[in-house]
Amino acid sequence: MSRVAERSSGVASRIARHRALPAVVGAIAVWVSVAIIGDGSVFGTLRSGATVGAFVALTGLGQLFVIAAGNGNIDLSVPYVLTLSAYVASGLVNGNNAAVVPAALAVAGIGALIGAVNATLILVLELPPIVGTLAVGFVVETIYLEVSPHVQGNVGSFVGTVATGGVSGVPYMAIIAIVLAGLVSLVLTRSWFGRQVLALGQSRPAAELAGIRSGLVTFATYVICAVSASLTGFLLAGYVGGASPDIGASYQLGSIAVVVLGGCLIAGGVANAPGVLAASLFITLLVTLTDLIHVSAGVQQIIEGGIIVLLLSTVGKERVRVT
Amino acid sequence: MRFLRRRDVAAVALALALFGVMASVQPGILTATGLDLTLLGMVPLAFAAVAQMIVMAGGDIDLSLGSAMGLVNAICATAFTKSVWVGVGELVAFVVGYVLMGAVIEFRRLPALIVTFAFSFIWLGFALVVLPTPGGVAPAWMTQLFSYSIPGIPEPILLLVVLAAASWLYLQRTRTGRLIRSLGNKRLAVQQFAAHPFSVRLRMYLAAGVVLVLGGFSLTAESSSGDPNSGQSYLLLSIAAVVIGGGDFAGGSSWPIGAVAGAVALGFVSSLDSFFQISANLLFALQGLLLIVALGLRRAEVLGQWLFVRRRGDREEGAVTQGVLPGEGT
Repeated sequence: MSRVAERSSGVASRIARHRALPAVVGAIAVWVSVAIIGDGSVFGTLRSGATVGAFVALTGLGQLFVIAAGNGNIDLSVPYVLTLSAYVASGLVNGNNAAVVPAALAVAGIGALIGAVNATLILVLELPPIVGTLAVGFVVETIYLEVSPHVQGNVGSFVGTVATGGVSGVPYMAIIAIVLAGLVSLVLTRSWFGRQVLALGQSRPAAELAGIRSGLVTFATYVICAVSASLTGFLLAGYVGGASPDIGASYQLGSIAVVVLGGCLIAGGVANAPGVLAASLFITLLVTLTDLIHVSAGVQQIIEGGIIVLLLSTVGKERVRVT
Repeated sequence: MRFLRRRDVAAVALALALFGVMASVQPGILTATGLDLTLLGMVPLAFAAVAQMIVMAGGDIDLSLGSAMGLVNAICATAFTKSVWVGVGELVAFVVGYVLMGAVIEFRRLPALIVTFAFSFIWLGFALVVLPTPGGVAPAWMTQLFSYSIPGIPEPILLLVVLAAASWLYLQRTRTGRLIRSLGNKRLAVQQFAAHPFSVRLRMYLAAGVVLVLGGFSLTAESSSGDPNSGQSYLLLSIAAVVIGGGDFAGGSSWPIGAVAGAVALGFVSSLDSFFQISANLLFALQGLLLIVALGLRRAEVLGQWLFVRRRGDREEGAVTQGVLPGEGT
């Protein structure tokens, strides 16, 4: 806040109009509320929030690419890919740390394959993304429901340490999420590929006239999203200590919510990776808060859905309908 | 022969063909009781398909439909045991909530996909508040309502026919129905009818909400208890039924008879597991694949054109393959 006072009013109004502002303010407000209501340590809450929030952020950063490409693109298969990967990783590693790297590659390969199927259905058969990815998700769900009874084991102590541990109070997961968000931010704003994604999201006809191969770019975004979901599943299995059928349940709304709350346009063309981090922390701490005040699972769902609706409503016409 | 080119004929043919297959495998379903049992399970899906069709005719997609059915089911199985008025009150509140959802979409001009998706969590949340775990009982009158039968005509058939006829009349023959279709087609057309898009979208979600209440009734009567998650499987199936029945994502047209026939066809597919020994898990995949195939076939024609045009190196392909995405509007 002191920075705002020092600088000119131009900076102040830029901050006030910043798209990620609701998420940042929300995260701080919820953190303060948790600190007041709860009796745990203030930084302990932040630490656990950052760890859990990092998983949401990782799926959100993948989803960011898909949504930024605009034209109705969205990936609803995230939770299913994540869960399948958690099972596959648990089965492949089975407590053996030496198998972590091959398992990670296998899981990423599965993610890439599912992402490619999603993109193919959307691009070639022209299924609406929201229907196509959900249909693929159902097929993937069937696969892991059939496979799950035969899967034993866990993802090993190494992944477990990465997912739960930290260095001098800072969780490894938070470091991973911050580094990746920085990377994604660089890719989206500075790289050839990222600029193409954003151009496509702003106007597909214009992007195509400029020589951008919209099909290839869209294909790549779905692959990136599914790979990020599958690797998150690997890490999440390490955090939870094994795979379960509902391990990914909260990531369907979660991965989309953090993109929207983080100040990115659902219509595409505007992306904000650091905002995704802030929003992930916000919704994770919000769940902590609802846990603290002992509301039922139902009320939690209502609060989460309601906040998304409220934020969507405040985002307003011009911002969503970018031209 | 003109009717053969109608987009809903394929769905009716598919439903009849699947019925033929089922009847040849299991002649027992040809009796009145057999028909009753086979078709009763399809009634909730038919209601869901009609609700989805109304919303899709207006150019939206309702992703909250599954949770909404679950909420109505949960209300039916709990509130009505306390008092009829509590139940009616909660159902009215639900329909008002549905209209409110339409208001949010129209007022802020947001994509319906996203708003209904967020609302699906709100409906599920309320369902979990009303009924935290599966349980409750269906009110006796509700079960009776759906097991009433006129001698000679199995009730599910009667229900399906009445549903198809009523929704056809509503969308094709009333002013509101025309307005809904024109909303999906072209916003400007609504204004040329001297109506306000805002009120049309509210009426559209009102109609969908009312149909979902009836669908929830049939779901409760069929399962004779409540489960907050009971509606989830109807979301994809309802979209699939509409698409098989001739509807599309662009909005502007409606095929009520096709949607009901599509629901019956999908219902037959869903009951395949009891006829052939298929795992219930595989059924999910089967439904997902069926949706992909149904939508894929729709594209086959355009795809052929695309391949052909591409070979000639014609740049006009873009105009053919670039559909307007649902929910984006103009």
